[in-house]
Amino acid sequence: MTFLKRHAYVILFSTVLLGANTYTLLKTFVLPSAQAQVVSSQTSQTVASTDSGQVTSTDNSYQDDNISISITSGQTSDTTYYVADIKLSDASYLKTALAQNTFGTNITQTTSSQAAANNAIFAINGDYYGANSTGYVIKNGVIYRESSRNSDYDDLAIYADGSFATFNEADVTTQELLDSGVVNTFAFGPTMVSDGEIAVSSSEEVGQAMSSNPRTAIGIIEEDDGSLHYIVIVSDGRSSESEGLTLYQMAELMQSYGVTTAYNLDGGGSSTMYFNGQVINKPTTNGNTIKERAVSDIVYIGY
Amino acid sequence: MFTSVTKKTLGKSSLTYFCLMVFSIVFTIVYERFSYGESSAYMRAMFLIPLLGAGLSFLSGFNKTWIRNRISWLFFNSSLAIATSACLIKGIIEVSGRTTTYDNPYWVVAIGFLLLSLLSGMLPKKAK
Repeated sequence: MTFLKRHAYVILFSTVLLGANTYTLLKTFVLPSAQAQVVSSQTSQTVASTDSGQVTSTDNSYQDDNISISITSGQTSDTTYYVADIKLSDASYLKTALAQNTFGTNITQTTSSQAAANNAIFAINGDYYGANSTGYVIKNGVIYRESSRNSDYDDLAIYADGSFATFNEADVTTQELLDSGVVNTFAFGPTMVSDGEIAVSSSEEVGQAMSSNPRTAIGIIEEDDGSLHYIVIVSDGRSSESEGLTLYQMAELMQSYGVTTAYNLDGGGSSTMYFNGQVINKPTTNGNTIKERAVSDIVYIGY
Repeated sequence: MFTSVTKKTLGKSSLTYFCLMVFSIVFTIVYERFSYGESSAYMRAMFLIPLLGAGLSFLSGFNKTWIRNRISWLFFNSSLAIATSACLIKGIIEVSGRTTTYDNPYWVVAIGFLLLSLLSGMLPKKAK
C-alpha cells in the first residue's frame, strides 16, 4: 500500500482542517466585509449652527463661538498622557464616524484619516466595533448592529442632549435606546468613573485590568448650569518612554479632573488623539514603531 | 482494510498526545507573554484536549473504551483535532482583544466526529 493511500484520510482531514482554520483567521483579521454604507442624510441628529464665528487656534487650543478645546499633557506612572478639555455650546458637535463611511468587518482607517475626511477639529479612536461580531452599534442616531454582546462590561450611551449614561446590553434593546434619545453607543468598557466615584477595582487580577497599556477614555463633567463639558484622556504606553496605564490608574486620572462619568474606549495600539490636523500622542502597537493603527471608528468634535 | 488498532499504536498515540499536551501548555504561556495582558480561557484550557486523548488512548490499549477499530480511532482523533483547533482559534482571537462566535461550527463538528467514533466503535468485528 502506498503512503498516500494508507494515510489518505489523515491527509485529507488535515488539509480541510487547516483550510478551515486559515479561512476563519482570515475572515476575522483580514477579509473586509462591508455591510452598510453611511449616508449623511440618514443621521437623525439635528445640527446646530455651522457658523463658527471668530476662530482662535494654537498648537494646543481651539476656540470659536461654539467649541472650546484645550490640550494639556502630563506624566504619571512613567507614562505620558494627553488631556483634552472640551466645552461645547451644542451636543451635535460631538459626533462619531465610521472608517471609509462604511459599517462592516475589517473596514478600517487610521484615526487621523477619518478625522481629516470629516473635517474634525479634534478626534480620538472609538470602540473598534469591527473587532467583534456582536455588541450594539449606534452611530449618529443610526442603528448598525442590534445583536447584543454577552459581557459584564457596560456600554456607554451618549444622548442627543450630550449627556452620558452607562447600561448593560442585556437590559435594553437598541430601539429602546434610540427611542429614549441615544445617538451614539460604545461597546467596550469598563465604566471607569460613575457618579464621580471610581468604578474600577484596583484589585482586579485578570487580563487587561492590571496591565499597563496605552489607553483612551472619555468623560463628562456634569456642570450645574447644564453646559456641555467633556474630558478626553489618551495615554501612551508599551514603549521605553511610556509604560502605559492600568484601568485603575486611568480612572484615577479621570476622577482627578472632576468627571462624573468616564468610560474606557479601545486602547493599546488604537489609542490616538488628533487635534488641529495632527496626531499628538505616540500611538504604537508593539512599542518599537510609532505608527497609527487603522481602526473602525472615531469620536470627534467638528461641524 | 485495516480495522484493527494495536496496543502499540495506542501506546504511541497516548505518548504523542502527552507531548502535544506539554506543547499546548508551553505555547499558551509563550503566546500570552506577548499579549499585553490579554488572555483566553479557551487557550488556557486547550491542553485538556490532548490530555483527554492521552488518557483515552492509554485506556483503549487495555480495551477499556469504545475504540476497538481503526475507523473509530481515526474519528476519535479527528474529534480531538477539531476541538483543539476550536480552542486555538478562539484563543488567538480573544488574545487579540476581540470576541468571536466563529468557533461554534467547530464544536458541532467535533461532537459529530465523536459520535461517529462511538458508533463505529460498536461495529462488530469481522469473523476470521
